[in-house]
Amino acid sequence: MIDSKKAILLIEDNPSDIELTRRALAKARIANHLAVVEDGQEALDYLFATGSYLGRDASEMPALVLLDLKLPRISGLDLLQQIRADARTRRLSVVVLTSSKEDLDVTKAYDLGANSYIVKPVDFAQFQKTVEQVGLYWLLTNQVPPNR
Amino acid sequence: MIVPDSTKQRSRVLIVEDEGIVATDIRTCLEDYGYEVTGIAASSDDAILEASKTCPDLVLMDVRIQGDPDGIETADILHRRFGVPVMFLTAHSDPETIERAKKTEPIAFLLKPFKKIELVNGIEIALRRVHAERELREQERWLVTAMGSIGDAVFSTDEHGRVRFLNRAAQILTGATLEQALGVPVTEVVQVAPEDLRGFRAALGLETAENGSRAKPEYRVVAAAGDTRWITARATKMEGLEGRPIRIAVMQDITARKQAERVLRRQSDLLDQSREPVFTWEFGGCIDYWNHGAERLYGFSREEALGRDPHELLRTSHPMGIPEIDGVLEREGQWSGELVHTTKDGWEIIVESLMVMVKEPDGRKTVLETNRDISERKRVDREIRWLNADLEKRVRDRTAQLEAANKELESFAHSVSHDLRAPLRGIDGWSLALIEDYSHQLDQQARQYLDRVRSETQRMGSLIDDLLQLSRVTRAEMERQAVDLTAVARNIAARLREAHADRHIEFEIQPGMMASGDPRLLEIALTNLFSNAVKFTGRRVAARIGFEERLSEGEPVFCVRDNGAGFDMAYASNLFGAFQRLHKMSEFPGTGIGLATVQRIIRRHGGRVWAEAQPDQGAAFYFTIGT
Repeated sequence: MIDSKKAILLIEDNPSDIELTRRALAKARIANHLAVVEDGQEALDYLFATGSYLGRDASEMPALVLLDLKLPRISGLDLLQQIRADARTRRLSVVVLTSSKEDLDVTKAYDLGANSYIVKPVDFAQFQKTVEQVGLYWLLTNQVPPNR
Repeated sequence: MIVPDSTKQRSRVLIVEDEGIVATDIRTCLEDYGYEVTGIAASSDDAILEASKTCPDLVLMDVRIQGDPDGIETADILHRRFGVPVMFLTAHSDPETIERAKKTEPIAFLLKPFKKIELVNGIEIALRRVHAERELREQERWLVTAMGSIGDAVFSTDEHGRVRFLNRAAQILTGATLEQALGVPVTEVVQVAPEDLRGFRAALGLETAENGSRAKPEYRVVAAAGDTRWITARATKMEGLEGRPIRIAVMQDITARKQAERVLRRQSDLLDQSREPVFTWEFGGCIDYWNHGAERLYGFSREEALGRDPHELLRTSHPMGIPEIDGVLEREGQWSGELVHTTKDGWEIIVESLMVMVKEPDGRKTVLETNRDISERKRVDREIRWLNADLEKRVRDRTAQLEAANKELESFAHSVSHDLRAPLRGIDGWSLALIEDYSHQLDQQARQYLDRVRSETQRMGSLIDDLLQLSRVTRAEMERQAVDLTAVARNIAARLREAHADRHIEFEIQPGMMASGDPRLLEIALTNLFSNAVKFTGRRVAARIGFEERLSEGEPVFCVRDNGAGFDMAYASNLFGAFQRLHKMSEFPGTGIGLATVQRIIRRHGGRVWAEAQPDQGAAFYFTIGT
């Protein structure tokens, strides 16, 4: 069963990509709330309920984090490092979604503890398929650690 | 005339007389005058026996002695066998006897009867004669021996230069015996070269010396053996016996010395020819030889250098110090090392020096110093070191620049893949959204246009992907290892079959193909070649794609062949350039980067890639991987 109460956190600054991702998730009938933050700092604020997210219930962690690598202020990789460094967010499922096929990025992302690394295809139909698979896998198939 | 002292001593006389009274008288008389009578013999036999026993200085003998042989014969025996002089006493003076007696070379005749004083005087004179003759013989023997043993050729001549005597050395020099040379002019016996004859005659005093004649009295002669030898000659004039002058000429064979001199001169000339500076100096003393090489290097002429202390002249400088160098020379006989010298013009030069100590027979120590100017080499060495350091620095700088450029390229590639692909995805995504959400409001044409937008977008995406791959292939670190090409090819084939499940594609991959290379790069190359083959066999009902290896001139050549569209070999030169395409986009779509990528990978391995094809007859791509 998909725990649709839990949110999916999309960290992405490209409005077009945000909307397309939202559309792809909808098409895949993944009904979870999609929280969108547009840079790394905002993502940290969201996760730890600080800054503009002060007052958010910090115990409510997203079911899945979709992380774009190319972000303003704090880069995706730096953000990933900070997520893995903090006990509260260490076990979050983080799927890196990126346009980059560069080897360095892939290696680094896995080294820093990404759960998956997915290159966004140009072909939207394929992208939609990918999002659908990712959503199904990480929200349904994947056995998450307890106490999340 | 020399009177030997022995006559004052007791001379010893043997009396041979058969008349007893006469013999006794004579004995008494002789003894009165201080002679010793060694015995009285009455017969020939007695006389010979006595003489052999006592060796008297003189024998007094009666000619008419009894026995056979008679007195004259006996005297002859005594004189010749024992060398004893005989004085005859006789009463007979018949000419025949006297004539016979003369042949025995008696020392004197004394006629009987004689007075005592006559006898004694006769004996005294006879003895003196004996002594004088003996003396003379001895001197003669001494002279002959001396003349024979000296190495110089000695001639004695009369005042006209005719040879009276020549010693052994002279005989060896001229090849003439005493008999042959006697009376012959010395200038004929000694065969002097015509051009030296005047000087030679002058040296012997046979001619007055001409003005300005050669300083060295050295003459060439043709020696007995026919070879030319060098001699010196000088002569002394002395008074002869009959008041006639005689000359003693002494000639010395100096051929060996001349040869040695020539050898020395030649060696010295050779040393002069040497470009290397060579000079000698007495150990602890002054320069006594200085060749042209030394003149050239140091600028000091021979005259300026000879007699100077070498270290002072050249301002020798060495970290060890000169006394230490001298110490090594004395202990080990030689020293070698680098020295700093100063030339006459004041330039400091560095020389590689070899000093060898030579001990002369007379105990003097000479040092032979051979130096080589290595200033230039040192300078070049320094320059090379400097150049190397500079080169290293430039290489470092260049490497840093390259690294910076590479970084830039990497970040460019990064940006391209992010920033160019994102809008493309947007274009594609929103086009699709239009098609999906508003298809009822769009007519057929509008939907086709949107499809066109999407396919162009995707083509752009492929172009970007291929370009990035090409740049990755160029930049990627290469790591050679054994690669199972058969296995790699089978994987690729499986993937392609899956991607083109609608098509019938037959892959023939030779088993057991191995290569040494970078596995990831080789997989990219093979993927490109296989994908091409799949693409260009798109119109075949049964596509056949083969991958095989064969040996060409000992080198493994790999080949990917297909039965596809092929191409015209006239355009084959464009085949491997980026963005080069041989087919229309409508026939076979593509970016034209695949083969450029293949070529780059093969070249990075040190291999070659080429193709053979005919339109519609399929294509074959060959490549080697190098080692």
